[in-house]
Amino acid sequence: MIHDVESALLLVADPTTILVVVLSAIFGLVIGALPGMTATLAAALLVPFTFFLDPVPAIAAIITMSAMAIFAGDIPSALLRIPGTPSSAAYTEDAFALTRNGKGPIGLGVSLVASVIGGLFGSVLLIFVAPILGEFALRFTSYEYFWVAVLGLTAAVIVSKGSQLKGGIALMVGLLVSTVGLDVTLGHPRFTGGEEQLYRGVDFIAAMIGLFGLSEVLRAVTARRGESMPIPTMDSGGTLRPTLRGIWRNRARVGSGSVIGGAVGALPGAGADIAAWIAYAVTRSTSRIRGGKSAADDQRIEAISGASSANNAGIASAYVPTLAFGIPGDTITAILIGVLLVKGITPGPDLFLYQTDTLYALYVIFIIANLLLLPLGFLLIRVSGSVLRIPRSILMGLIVAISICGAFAINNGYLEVGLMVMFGVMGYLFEKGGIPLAPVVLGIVLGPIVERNFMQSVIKTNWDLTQFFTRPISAVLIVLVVLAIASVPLMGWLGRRAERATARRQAEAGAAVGT
Amino acid sequence: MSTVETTAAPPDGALRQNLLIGVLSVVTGAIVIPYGASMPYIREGIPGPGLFPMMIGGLLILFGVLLPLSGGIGRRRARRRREALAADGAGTAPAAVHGTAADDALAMPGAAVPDDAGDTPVDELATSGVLDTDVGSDGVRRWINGAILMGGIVAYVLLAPVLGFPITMALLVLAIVRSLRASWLAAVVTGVLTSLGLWGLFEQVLLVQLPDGLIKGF
Repeated sequence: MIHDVESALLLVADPTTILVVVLSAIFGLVIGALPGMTATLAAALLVPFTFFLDPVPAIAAIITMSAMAIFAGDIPSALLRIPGTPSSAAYTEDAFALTRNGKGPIGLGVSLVASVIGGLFGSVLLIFVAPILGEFALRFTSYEYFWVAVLGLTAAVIVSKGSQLKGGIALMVGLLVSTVGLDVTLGHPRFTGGEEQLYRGVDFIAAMIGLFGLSEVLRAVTARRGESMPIPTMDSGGTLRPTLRGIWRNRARVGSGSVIGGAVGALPGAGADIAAWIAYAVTRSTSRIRGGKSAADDQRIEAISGASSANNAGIASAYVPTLAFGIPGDTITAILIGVLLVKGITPGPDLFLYQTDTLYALYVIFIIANLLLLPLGFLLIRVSGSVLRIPRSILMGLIVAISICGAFAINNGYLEVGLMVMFGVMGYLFEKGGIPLAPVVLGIVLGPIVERNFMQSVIKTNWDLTQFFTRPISAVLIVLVVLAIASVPLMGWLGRRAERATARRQAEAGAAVGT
Repeated sequence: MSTVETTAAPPDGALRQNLLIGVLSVVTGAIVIPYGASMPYIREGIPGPGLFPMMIGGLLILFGVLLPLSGGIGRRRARRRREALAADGAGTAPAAVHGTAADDALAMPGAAVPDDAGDTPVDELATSGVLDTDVGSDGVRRWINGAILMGGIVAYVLLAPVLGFPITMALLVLAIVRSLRASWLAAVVTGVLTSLGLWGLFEQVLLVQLPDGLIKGF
């Protein structure tokens, strides 16, 4: 154990890793702070670079970036009333109202410290819960892995925003993409059209860059002309003390938010934005602040401290199912699994047995990333006005250039560039048709796992399908699957309800002002 | 808000969109299943490579059929509910919103922003600049921009082996940035810097062999 931690620290203290952590932190902060650019887009643009890195810095890049981006999403909430990432949507109105009353920097400061505490709590949860589940997963055979993968796929569809049938179609498209290439049983080429380069399958990196990078640019360049938005001035001097006072007063809220975020985020498919909505609703409905001067602002700060700690805790605990079973908790962990598989690391119980130094390095990175968020976040609050003024046209040009280079570099060839363009158009059309993209990613990542374990199981037993249901661990797992699947729509429903209740109150308040 | 969403019938456009997605999904499934069936079997009657694609195809057809149907059912239900509402004489929109807000036992007390009467009006905020998110355009210009992006990437693939990476990439970025209404100066500077930066990063640091073209020997 001590030895493992030591070698993990050595892995992390490598200069390349430190450089990668700092660069991806800045990258995550900038992308997260820009409205309309999500953490998923940032992850997709990072992926081609992780291709050249060792496993530990590659993981470090994605973890650091996502921790930063989730906080940075609060910045445009406070300044422009637009959430930078979906997880900030729950408290956008509150953050903006604080800016209107001259308390913007305090709101953002509280949000930052709450994010750091939530993120640290989520990391600790990950460190203690993941090995327990991993040990359980050691006894898995192909039957159990089949069920776990099915659980991941089902959850992906259930939580899709909008129509679940569209989520189902998206998942099937992802699975279909995953079948391209030589099959696992006979090595028969499928959907390759005779192209030998496609025998190894559709490259995951090219698909990600296309789905989330190029499609974003396509949408931006064909968008209708909108309005330019003024950026309010924020005087962020001398905010440290009121921020700390706000956090101390709301320490119970930060605690409950972290717990909610940790629990919700660990459910496969749930994720940080649902965690934020639920924590927001809970904080609001149990608020004890009533009346008095500036009660409204105090309530807002209270709600922000609850919800903001929840989304960062959710980001970390989403790695619990990822590490223990190899089942992604959200889109970013799905991308991470894709990266790990490219690196020859199979997430799952093996990680706890044979690659403990990588595992501990990952834990260390989580802690470092969240601690690093504190100074970098305060810096971002200071320069937020300038970050928001980065011209969008230049960013679009940059994204296209990085996408092309990234796709080309995979294999020094134009096949991947072509695939990237195809997936870009597909992502654009799916978005237009209201089809969610997350199930496509999960389908591509989990498809081979589902198929391999299913085919192994049935060939092993000569098509005795009862084996899937009668094995004791399988039975436990099926019960867990049913429970988890039942809890996922419940969580989604809670999240949506909180979202609707907020919207309705706002509508009523608006009507009251109007009359 | 929730009542407005559920009582309002989905617009025709959304139904037509669902129908289109459904049809495309069914067609894909119908192509995939025979293709999967044509693949070799492991043994007589035991499918191998084709099994998974056939299962996916089947589910694609199932979801594709259900999607337009569910839209239609939702529409009919919404119409019936609206008729019932009209019969009650409570058809006016504000009453409907208010009524359900009170009825909704699930509404969390205080789970919303309190009324903002005491807040500073938005117009009185001091501002320090303007957010340039607006790269959109009107009318035919949107299609031209889309064509510049897609055509630009195709042109890059064709020209990069001839002109080399630095020149081609600079031109591509310049065209995209300029098409989004940036100034010529900004477009040229972005194009050149992006191209040189990526060239240095990929060719020098990551050791990827980017196409050299004209400028061989550097």
